[in-house]
Amino acid sequence: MVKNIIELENISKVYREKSGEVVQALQPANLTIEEGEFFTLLGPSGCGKTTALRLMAGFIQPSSGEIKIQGKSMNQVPPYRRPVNMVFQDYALFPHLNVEQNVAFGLKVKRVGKQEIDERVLKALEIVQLSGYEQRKPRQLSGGQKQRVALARALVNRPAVLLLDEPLGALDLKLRRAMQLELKTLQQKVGITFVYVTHDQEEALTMSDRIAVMNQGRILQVDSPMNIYEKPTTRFVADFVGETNFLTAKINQIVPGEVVKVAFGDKEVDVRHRTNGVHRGDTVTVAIRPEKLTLMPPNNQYEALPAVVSEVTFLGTDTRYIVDIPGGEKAAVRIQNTGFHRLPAYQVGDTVTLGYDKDDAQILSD
Amino acid sequence: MNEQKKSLLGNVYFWLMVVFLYLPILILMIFSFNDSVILAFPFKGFTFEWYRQMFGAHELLLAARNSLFVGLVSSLIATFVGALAAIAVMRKNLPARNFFLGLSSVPMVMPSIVLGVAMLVLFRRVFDLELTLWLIITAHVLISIPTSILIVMARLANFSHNLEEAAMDLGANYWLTLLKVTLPVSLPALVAAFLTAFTTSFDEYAMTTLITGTDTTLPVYLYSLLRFPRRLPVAVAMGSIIMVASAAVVILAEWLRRMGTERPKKKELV
Repeated sequence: MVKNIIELENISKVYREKSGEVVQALQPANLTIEEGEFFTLLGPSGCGKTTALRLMAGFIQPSSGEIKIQGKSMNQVPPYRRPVNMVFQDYALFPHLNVEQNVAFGLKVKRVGKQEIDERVLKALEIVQLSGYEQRKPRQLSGGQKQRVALARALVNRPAVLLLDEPLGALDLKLRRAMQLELKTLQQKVGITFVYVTHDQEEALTMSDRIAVMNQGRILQVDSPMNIYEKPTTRFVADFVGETNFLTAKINQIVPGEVVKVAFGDKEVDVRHRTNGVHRGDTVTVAIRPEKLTLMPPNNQYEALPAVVSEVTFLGTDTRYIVDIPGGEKAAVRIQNTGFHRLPAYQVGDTVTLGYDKDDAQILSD
Repeated sequence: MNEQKKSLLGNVYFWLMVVFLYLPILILMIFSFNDSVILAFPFKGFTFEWYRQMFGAHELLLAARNSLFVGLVSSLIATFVGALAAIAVMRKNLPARNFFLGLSSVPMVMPSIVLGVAMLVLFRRVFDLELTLWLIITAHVLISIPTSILIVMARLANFSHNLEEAAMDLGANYWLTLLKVTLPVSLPALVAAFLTAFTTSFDEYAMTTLITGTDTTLPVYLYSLLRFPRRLPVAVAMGSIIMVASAAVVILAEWLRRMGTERPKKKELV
């Protein structure tokens, strides 16, 4: 059975600004994180993800609700007695200590025996591939190396949960990609639950077992990377993760469990019925990713949307088309440049048929 | 104006500044070796006589010892109090933070002669205390605290608050964090604050002279020597030694401050 390692029950955080203004950093939220998973809090800056992380670490106190770690309430437990460790965005390495002393810090203050400290520090540095750097001071290390020391310093304590606050934020793109893979591999190797905060949707999709997408202090959707991408439940999630067409349509008919017939202008098409709470006659948003759309020659046998190409952009691996659809809106279409598909297949002004699988379109509830 | 003329002008300006600043000091030092009681050119000959007399002058040495004592004790206290104040002020949630900071820096902008009179009134009239070295120490602590706070604050502002959070996250409680992280990280600033406070105390005249009783400090004693023209060269010799020592201490303090605030660049490649 899967065990919940962190449980947030009705947790909220309210800040009072000096001006007297009240800021709701985190709306009352429930969240459970399972043992051993790589869990990511994803959202734009100011969405409350770091607040949530700092609540888990104990640096700030919740305004309401309860935090449980390993089933025990943590509300009254100070950061230094919680079974979690944090990797900070700016690494927060102690500048007056060398690498070895930095990594040993946690064990020393917990009065672990000298021999055991030595062994565990050695092992931790080995895991992050920094053996031989023991005597270096943090200022003698590169950004990526500091990152590893920060990781080793946290992991050496064998925390129940490792909290990571945008740990790759300060690294350049190439190193970041390499570290993403490394972190994921490391997480699987040590088997510790990771709670990872990032605003980078690609990073979240690459590394996570589950993602919580947040905005304006709310947790909007908690799901696997694939479901977050393929089945976003809100407009914000669809927009924040990847590119999405948001098309306005009117619901003509609902066949429960089967299809929803929606109208773009005077053309009616089918969308898989998945969203509850919509009714016949409603004006809704239909979300579909550009790569799920395809262009076909006009007047074929499929019942689909007629469209007119208004823009063609060659992107190397893909070609991006903007087409006008019935109802007056524009949709982006991304088609992979395979050898078969000699390019450009369509020109500006061509009349085409816009095709898609009805399972790929999503009616959004808001 | 072309580049060459510009740089020539810059050079002239620089050297004029150097001359104005350091020539008087240099002349003072030269005269401390001059074989005459009258401080005037032409130079009468080289002598160590004044230095010899200086080391034989019991009262002068006593004053020097007093100054060292006052300087050491007052700077220790000022550094300690200043550091604690700086740590407190750097906490975001300290109420009336700016008011407190402003109040603590008053002695820095107050003319020391005014402070001296105020303290004399306070010590003698209000509390009716004997004018001892301890009162001088108290006064010197007061004028050194603002600089101590500022120096330690600058250091603390320079390293991220995350360091303390990291220590706590790793299992250190508040006191252990202070002892193992905050204080060691601030060490260069503490030393710099101590040295700055020491030179302030060692040089202080205007205020100290007002609250000096029987035990006098070096600057005060040296000034009193000026009433005896024959003793003037001894004062000059002592002055030269203090000059060199003070300069050495200030340079050391600045070097330590720079060591402490040195930070690597933000983004780096592997």
